[in-house]
Amino acid sequence: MFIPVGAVEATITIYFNDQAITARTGETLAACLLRAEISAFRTTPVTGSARLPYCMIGHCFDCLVEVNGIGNRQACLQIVEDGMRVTTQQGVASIEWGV
Amino acid sequence: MPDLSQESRAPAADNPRALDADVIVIGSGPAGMSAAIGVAKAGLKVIVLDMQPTPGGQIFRALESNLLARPSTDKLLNALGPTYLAGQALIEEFRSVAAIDYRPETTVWELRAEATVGWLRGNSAGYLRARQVVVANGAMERPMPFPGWTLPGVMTAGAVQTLLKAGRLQPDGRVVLVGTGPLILLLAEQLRRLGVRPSLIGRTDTIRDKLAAVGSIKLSAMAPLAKGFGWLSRLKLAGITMRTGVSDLTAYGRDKVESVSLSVAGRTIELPCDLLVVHDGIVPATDVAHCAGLAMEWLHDDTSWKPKTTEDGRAELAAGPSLTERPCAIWISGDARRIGGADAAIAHGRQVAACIVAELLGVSLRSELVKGASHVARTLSARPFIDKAFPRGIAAQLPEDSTIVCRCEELTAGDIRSAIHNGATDMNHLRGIMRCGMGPCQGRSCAVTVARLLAEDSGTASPSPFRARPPLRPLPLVALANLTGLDPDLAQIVSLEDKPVDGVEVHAHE
Amino acid sequence: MNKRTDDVLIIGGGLQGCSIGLFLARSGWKVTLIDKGLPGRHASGVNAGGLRLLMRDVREYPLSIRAMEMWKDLGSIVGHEQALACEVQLGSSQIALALDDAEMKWVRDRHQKMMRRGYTSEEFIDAHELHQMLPGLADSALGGLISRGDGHANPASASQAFRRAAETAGVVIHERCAVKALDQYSSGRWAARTERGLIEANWVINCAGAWGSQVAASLGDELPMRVLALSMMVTARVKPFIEPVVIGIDRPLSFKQSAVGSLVIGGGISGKPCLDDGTSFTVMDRMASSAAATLEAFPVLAGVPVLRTWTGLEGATPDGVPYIGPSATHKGLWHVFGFCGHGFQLAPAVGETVAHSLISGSVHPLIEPFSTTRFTSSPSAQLQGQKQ
Repeated sequence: MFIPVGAVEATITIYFNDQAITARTGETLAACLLRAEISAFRTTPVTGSARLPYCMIGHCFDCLVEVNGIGNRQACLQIVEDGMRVTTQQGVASIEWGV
Repeated sequence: MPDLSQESRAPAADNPRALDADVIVIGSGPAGMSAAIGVAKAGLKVIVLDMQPTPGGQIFRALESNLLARPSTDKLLNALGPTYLAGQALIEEFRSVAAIDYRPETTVWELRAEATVGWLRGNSAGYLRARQVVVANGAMERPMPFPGWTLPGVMTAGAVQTLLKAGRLQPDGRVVLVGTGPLILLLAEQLRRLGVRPSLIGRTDTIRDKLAAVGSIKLSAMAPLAKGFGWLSRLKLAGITMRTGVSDLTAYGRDKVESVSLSVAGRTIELPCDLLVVHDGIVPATDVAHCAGLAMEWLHDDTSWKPKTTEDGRAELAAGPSLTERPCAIWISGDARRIGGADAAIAHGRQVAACIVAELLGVSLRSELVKGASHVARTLSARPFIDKAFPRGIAAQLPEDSTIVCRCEELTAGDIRSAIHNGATDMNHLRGIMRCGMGPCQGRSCAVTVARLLAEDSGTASPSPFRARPPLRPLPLVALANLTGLDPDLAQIVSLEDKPVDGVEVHAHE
Repeated sequence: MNKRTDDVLIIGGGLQGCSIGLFLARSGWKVTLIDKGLPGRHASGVNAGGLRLLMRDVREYPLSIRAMEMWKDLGSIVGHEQALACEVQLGSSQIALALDDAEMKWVRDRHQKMMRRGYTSEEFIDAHELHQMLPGLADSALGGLISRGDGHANPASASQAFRRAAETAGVVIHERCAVKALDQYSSGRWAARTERGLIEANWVINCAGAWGSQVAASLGDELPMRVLALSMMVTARVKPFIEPVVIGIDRPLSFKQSAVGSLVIGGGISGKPCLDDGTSFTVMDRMASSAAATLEAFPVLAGVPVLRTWTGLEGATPDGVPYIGPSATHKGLWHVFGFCGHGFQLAPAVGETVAHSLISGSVHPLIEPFSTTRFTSSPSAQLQGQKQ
């Protein structure tokens, strides 16, 4: 769906559902995951349908993912950090116990 | 009239209602930056809040980092073109003014008309106070429900532009563009420069629209017009298939978009598709203004709301009670006030700054304001033509019953119509019983359509948005629990305990 | 509107008004109910929906016990299908948490007091069992009180269900019909001038909720009441993890997990009420304390975001229990309002006992503690109600 324009200086690593993905410092999580061809950021709570970003400017809330155990994070506004652990938000968000 | 007396800037410990700044600007796009610069240069203290990590709004998004990364971003910058690069000077000036307290990655979750702003950054939140607030939070894409619009791989033109600018990503695979408006044509041209060839650009606007718009062309609109013609001819020369007057867009697929169909010249065509890019114009993002209890007006032809302001951008309160009954101290500028583009936003931001400076410093800037007003008018002069030449397309018709209207709660037009048929009579009642507008987006994607469905049934001339209460955006419990900058007048806890009043033995019959 | 002489005119179509109307109509009385807006849109429709005996003022206990029996058998009151829509859940428990020594002492005292009076539904629960029932509970939780039979329901649906049942039973309901003036003839019959014309009735029941005190005052009855804008907040949906409703003792703590997974957090915090306009404002400055109380009890919820808040207009009496009883100054006038945020669970029994009182001619024992004259200094002039 999307490929880089020119070379990507991907010097940090994030994890999506435990899969390591290289990331560029300062980019949004949404862009990073789309470049990695992730097919769904979340499934909806009502019907379990897959969703990817729609607006990329923080208005549609379709890009929700769980970041480091905290759910309902908008990937289009979240800037990547080295070692960030991201998971698909399956339906409703989970609460990370023992944190 | 706002109170011109010098309010104390003593630290909060000494003066609980101390102000944090003279002016708070919400949004660091062209209007916000321009307003902040104007105010700061006059010696006033200004705080600028923005959700993004760097300034520029959407139009100049990530410009700083793209410039810094040259030459590896040369190809991208050439493709994005001069309209993008034009933001460099403004951003550099914004950064250079030391008196601007710029706070990125900060979300606004409440605005009070008395110029109090609820902010969130990470897990910290609080209130900031000023004498005036400038709302410059820009625009959003017009919600345009059509069958299949929630499928992965369906995105707005703005989203694809953002992925270009901030993601340095270009579409790959079978790309179809459908919609109308200058933005989708600009995007098509930018993609062409990157070698992206959409299978089809399906425009909902027609030659007839252009002819009808001819009467609205002003001399000052010639430059943008010429630009537009330039894009169109280059797209045509490149042999990219473009059709006008398309309708009935449908996206098909199971877990992602796989094909699209549309009506073109009376025939239905279907094509395979990996990425469907849609656009039906942009409308002011009214969430912040509405939360503050500001008066809104419904634009019937545009089917969108905009805040009621003077030409200079001064907002007014809607009728009815307000939270603190202090005078309204809000200005609105840029696309948040009315759609006008970057040049208009910059000009208007400067105008708002001049108005605020005149008021707060008690100076007369009469001739500057008069010149500024006519400059703003010039920058907006192309709008009547653009609005007529690119009328609403996909969003013009109300959706069919089976089309999702509320993306968050997955409610269809049929669900909403059925609730209306069963007696739901207003927006908030509908929301209460159907949950439309209760999901994470709080109605940003569905309010317009729900309002139109209500109007379809009741014939209301001016629908109102959902009742807005803070928080406007998700506010983590830990941030709320540790809220700073509380209003001493409001923070007195007034509460009822579940615990019964102890030791009271009252006998009914004495 | 057709001019008919009703037995009863009820002012206010919230849960209490509809419940009273329903029981009167079922006994053959002619009832008209008027509401200045849409029935059930204020406190009745937007409260937390708690069905609890737990922590009630002991004066409310007998009435509440009766109400609980009725919630269990809701189908026979509002019809089976309507009852289902109310999402009544009983047996999921309500738990009052003690988070410090002072609250623990209060818990023990309360438990003893209730046992002495013969009320055994509030059980003492220790820290161990608390932690078993409430995942994520803070270590600082010392113990509490549990009422295992308690639960919750859907307040908006319940308000609608009682309204529909009332109409089915023959109550005539006029929406958007405010009272402009209320006069009593020398015969004792009432005449209400409304936006839709004149309504005459032998009885008037003031179920005007947050406006109750205003209505009473206009008739010369002084029933002191504070108007509050009780606020709630709802979070993003999270995976189901908690079944009981949790309430606090001294802290503004109150939350439950809704059927869709969101956490509904109350705590009795008031926003800013605007009674004349029928609106209210959330004051986030104050909501900070209920968020803090929630996190003190459940620190694991720190990252869960609040998505929205809402407020509802409610009335609170000086002693925390409602007014349910005849007027001191007028024959044929009853006041039923001031439920202090916890009238929802009581409503079916309120309807039954008020109707019974009117029909029998004397105040039902279950509602005797809620005299409308308990704050006036002069001895109450208790009028015997009579069907005229």
